[in-house]
This record gives sequence, C-alpha cells and structure tokens, in this order.
Amino acid sequence: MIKDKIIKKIKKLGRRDERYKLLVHVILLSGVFWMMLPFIWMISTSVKELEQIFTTPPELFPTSIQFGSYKEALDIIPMFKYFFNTFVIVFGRLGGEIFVSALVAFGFARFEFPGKKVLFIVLLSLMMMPYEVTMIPTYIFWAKLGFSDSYLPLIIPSYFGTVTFIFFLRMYYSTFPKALEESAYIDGASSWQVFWKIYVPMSKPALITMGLWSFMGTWNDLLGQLIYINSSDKFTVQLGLASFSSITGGQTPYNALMAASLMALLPIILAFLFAQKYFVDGIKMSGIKG
Amino acid sequence: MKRLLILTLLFVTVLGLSACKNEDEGTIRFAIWAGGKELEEFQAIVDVVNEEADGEFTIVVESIPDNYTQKLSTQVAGGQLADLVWLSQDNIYAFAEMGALYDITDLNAATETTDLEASNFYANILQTAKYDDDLYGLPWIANPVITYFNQKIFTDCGVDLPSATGGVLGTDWDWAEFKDIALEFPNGDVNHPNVGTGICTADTYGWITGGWPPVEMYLWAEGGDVLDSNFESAINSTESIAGMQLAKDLLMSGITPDVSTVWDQGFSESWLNGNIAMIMAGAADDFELRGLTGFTVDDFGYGLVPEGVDGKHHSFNWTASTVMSASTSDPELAYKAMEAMTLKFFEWKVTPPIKNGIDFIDTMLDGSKIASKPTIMEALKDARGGNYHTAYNEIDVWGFLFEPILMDPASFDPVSVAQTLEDRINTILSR
Repeated sequence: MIKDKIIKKIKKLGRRDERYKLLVHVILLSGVFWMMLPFIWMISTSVKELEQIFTTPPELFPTSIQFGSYKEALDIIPMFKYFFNTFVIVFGRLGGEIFVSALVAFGFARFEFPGKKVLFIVLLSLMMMPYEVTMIPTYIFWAKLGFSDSYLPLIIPSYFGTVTFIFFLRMYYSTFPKALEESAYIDGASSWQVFWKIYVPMSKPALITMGLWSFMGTWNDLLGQLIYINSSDKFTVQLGLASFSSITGGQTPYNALMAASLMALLPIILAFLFAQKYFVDGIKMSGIKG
Repeated sequence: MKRLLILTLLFVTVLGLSACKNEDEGTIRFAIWAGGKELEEFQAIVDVVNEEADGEFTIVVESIPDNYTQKLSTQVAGGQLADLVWLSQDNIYAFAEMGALYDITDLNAATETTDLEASNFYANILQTAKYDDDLYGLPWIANPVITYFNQKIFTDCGVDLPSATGGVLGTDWDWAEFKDIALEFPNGDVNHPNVGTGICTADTYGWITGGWPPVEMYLWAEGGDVLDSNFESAINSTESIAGMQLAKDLLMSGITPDVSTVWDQGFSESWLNGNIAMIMAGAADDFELRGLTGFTVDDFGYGLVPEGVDGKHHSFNWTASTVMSASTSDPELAYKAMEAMTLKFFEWKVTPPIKNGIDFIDTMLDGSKIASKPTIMEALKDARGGNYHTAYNEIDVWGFLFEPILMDPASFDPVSVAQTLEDRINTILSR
C-alpha cells in the first residue's frame, strides 16, 4: 500500500518534472527562434525575388526560390579576391595579437618590477578609449610614415598586443599555481621556457578563444579597413559588402546583398564550429562573455 | 620558436609592404563613393581618359563605399585627401570652409572647353559648387524632381491628366490644381464611381509622399526657404510659413496613403504596388522602369512639379560635383584631369547639369525612357538645391520641421514651429 503510494508520488513528480522540462524547452526554443530570426531572414531574403522583399505585411518565406542573387553578388563584387585580402589581414594579425598579448600578460602576471601597477592601470585605461577617439591621430601617424593604402596600419599594431586580451590573459595566468613554474625553475628552466612550455600549452583553450575573437573582430571590422584602404583591389569582405549600397541614386539589390552577407559569414561559422569546444572552455576559464 | 617568429614577421612585412603604393609623378588620385558595378563602369571611363591623356596624367581610383565624408575628413586631417573627389552639394560648403578644397575659379575661367564654361551650367546648380562666390567644383550630375504619371490609373479612375506642352505634362499647373486632380482619385473611398473599373480600386491614391520630395520644395513654392542666400534664417518669413501650410494642407487632404504605412512599406516599394497615380521623384530614379507588374513604360507620363507663386517650377535637385584637394601637388594637371572626367560623366549619367545637356542625353537614356527627355530638360531650368551652409545638417530640417508635419499634420502649427526653428537656426549660426 505504502509502496504503491510512493510509486504514485514518484510518477507524479516525474510527470511534473517532464512538464517543467517541456516548459523550459519551449521557452528556450522560442528564444532560439528570436535569436535565429535575423539569420533566417537573411537566408530567406537571399533567395527571394527583389519585389517580394518589401511586401506588406512582410513575408518570411519566399514564394519562389531563386539562387540568381548569389551569382549577382559574385558579379557585383570579386568576393573571392576580397576573401583572400581579408585572410591576409586576419592571419597577419592573428600571430602577433595572440603571441604578444600572451607574453605581456605572462609578464604582468608573474614578474614583479617597479611601476607594474601603474603600467597595468595605464593599460586598463586604454581599454576605455573608443577607437573613434584615436582614429584620426593614428591615421595621421601612419600616413606620415607613408603607409596609407596598405595593410600595415591594420597589422602592425597587433604586434604590440591587444589590451583586452592582455587583461584577460593576465587574470587567467594569475590563477595558475606558482608551484608549477617554481618546479620548472628548480629543474633549470628559463623564464622563456616556463612561458613557452608550461603557460602556453596550459592556456591553449584561452588562446584559441582569443584567436577566434581576433578572427571575428578583424573579419567584421569595417571602419579601420575603410580608413586605411583606398584601392578597390585591396578591399576586404566588409568593404565589398558596403559597396552594395554605394550606387549613385541607385537601388540596393538586397537579395544579392544578403547572399553576399551569407557567404561572408561562412568562414566565421566554420571557424566557430571547428573551435567550438575550445571556445566554450576558453570562455569558462577566462570569463569572457560576448 | 625563433624560426616561427622570423617567419611570422617576414610574412607580415612582405604582405604589408607589397600593399604599399608607390605613386609616380602625374598620378591623380580620384576618390568616389561608387562601388560594385558602378565602380566597374567608372574604372572603364578612367581607362579611356588615361589612354587619351597619353601619359600626361594617370588617374587612380579610390573607392570609399561607406562613411564617405568621415573618411574624407580623416584624410583631410592627415593631409591625404585625393587630388579629385566627388562631393554631394550639401558637403561642398563645409569642406571649402575648412580649407580642404582648391579654388578652381581661375582655372575654369581659362577653360577652352565650351561645355565646361561656368555660363554653360545651370546657375542654380553651379551655385552648389561655390563658396563665397568662388568656384570649388564642376557639377557632373543633376537629378531634378519630376512628376511621374501612371496614365493607366488616370484612365481607369476617369481623371484627366493636367495640360501638356511639348510632351511635358503640367507645364502650367500649380499646387492647387495638383491637389484638385489628386482629390479626384478614390483615396480610400469605396463609393468612388470608378472603383472596380480596370485597376481603379478604393486603395488607389492620387499621390504619395513619405518625406520625399523634401520639405524645402514647398517652402520654395511659396517664396520661402530655410536659409536665404546670405545664409541667414528665412524660416520665420511669411513665405516660409505659407510653404509649411501648403505641405500641411496636402498631407491633410487625404490624397496620399497614410505616412506610417508608406514608411513601413518604403516609398518606392509603395509605388511598386501599382495603385498610385502620381509620384514626385528624381528624373534619374527610373520610377517607370521598376517593373510594375501589369504595366509597360508607355503607361507612364512625365511632367513638372507644380509651379510656385512666382510661376516657376521649383524642383528639388540633387547634384554632385568633382572638387579638387587644396593639397594637390599640380592643380593645373589635376584640373585637366577633372575636365576630361567631367565630360565623360556627361555621357554616363542622367542628367548632365549643363544647358546643352540635350546633346548628351539622347545617347544615355534608355530607348524606353526617351519620352522623359523634354520634361527633364524643362525641369532643370528652375531646379535647385538648398543653401547648404556647414550647419545645414545640424539644423535638422527633417526632424524639426518635416517629420512633425508628416506625423501629425492636423496639430502642426506653422507659426509656432517657424519661431522655434528660427531660434534654433540662430543659435546654431551664432556659434
């Protein structure tokens, strides 16, 4: 009798638990839908006829699917060339940005030197400064060096580290037990070896996360690339996308623009998929949120 | 490790340096906003001009597809502005005032090209390229607002078109006649006698506006303006107040679909629904060629915007000019390139802003659009832009004047708005 009652109670609780789970999933799925809506809209618009894009009321799904806009997008801008140009900047920055940031962060986390705190506060204050404030002085600097219309002003600064990355890696390295490096020093390792053979391998997820952030930041950067690049044969993907709406008195072919935007998104999606595991681990460990 | 470092640095240096530009003497940098296909067309023109220049100069194109004036301002700060630059009419004053542009008055006065003499440009259009009466650019395109008529809707709704002269509709109509004609359409009235005839439905409207044409056009029609030619406030004049009243009356008459609907759907997209009888838009905007389902180009007619109190058809005109950087190393050579390019632009874009533009226009207009030629040429005579002081954008004519009329015409009070706006203009101008 009691046994039956207990079983009944458990079943009831189980059903309530299932209902709760179902509710949670419904809420989460509706959240996913709203998060995905712009993306779905982009895909849908890319295969719509131009006339269907602005109908009232708006129609999410195309009445007839056409892929001509993808060809049109490739006709309007040399997409593959812009992909290559963007990759040059992305990979040009990547090594410097990650390596130098990690090295500087290691220094801040593990060495004591006069003025360390002041230097770190100066570094933090740089994080607060928006790009727009430094844009013109920096442009003048690079222009005086004769580097306008080149990728150098976009790549070289990354070899001085990125403040945000230094900050987070410094915090991350501070959590490493000192005993690790002390035992290495006892075994005769140099500071460089400690960094390269202990800190770098141990921070792989964080570094990959930084790499992804660097990749996405560079890939999506419009203003920096716009300011420094003049010749269209050096254009990047973002500048190419901007070209769609820069037609004198003309109409923007939104379906082709969406098709091009979708193509431009692919490398980021692929990069995220391949590095997803590290990305999530890195976020957990370094505390970075998007 | 060392190998990796060296390789990375080498990679960056080689790639970066390979992207550096080595400018030769005689290189003229030309900054434009065109991108995509239009950039290709522009490059083709440049190739021809460079070939014709036979080594005297070589034009190199710099496309700025976004944040155009922001990049130009940055380049000015860095002393890197291109030798030749496209600027729209509302930016020339500001760039000339900051000393970024070269005064080409003397170079133009000595021109040997009749088409490019100052007297050959429409005076109102050339005015937009001037600062302190000095010339800073050569206008290369004009786009005056004309009226497109959907004649099929006129026929099915039983409404007569305004009178025409020489193939140009509305040569002598004024705003009152325009409103009367627009009122003859159903404009939402299901009891209109022609509803159900052909394409005439209750949702057929006589006109459409959602903020275009700009409010200045109504002010000009009544003899008013935002700023006068001395760049002082003219907004609180009797004429300007009458212009605001004109806009208010048109909005309240019910001849246009609800503005919020037009905004939701888009101005030109609303036109694509095929239930609007008249639309005022740029001559080069090709509203008759946008593929309205069930219509052919012959269903459309072209006419002027209604005339103002002075008998002139004050059409708003968008113009862009080619200007020269004050830091250009060889102004005479740059001007030569500017002239060569401007002549090619006249053969490229509708409409050349010169009095003999008709000589160029035949080759450009799509065969199906050739009927618009007399209207375009007639519209250019009185077409104009605003008096674009540096502070014009800051005045925010849209936000402080036109948007309130569009949003709630019934409660819009021209007198009080004129006073408020004048105070604002005077505060801005006094800085």
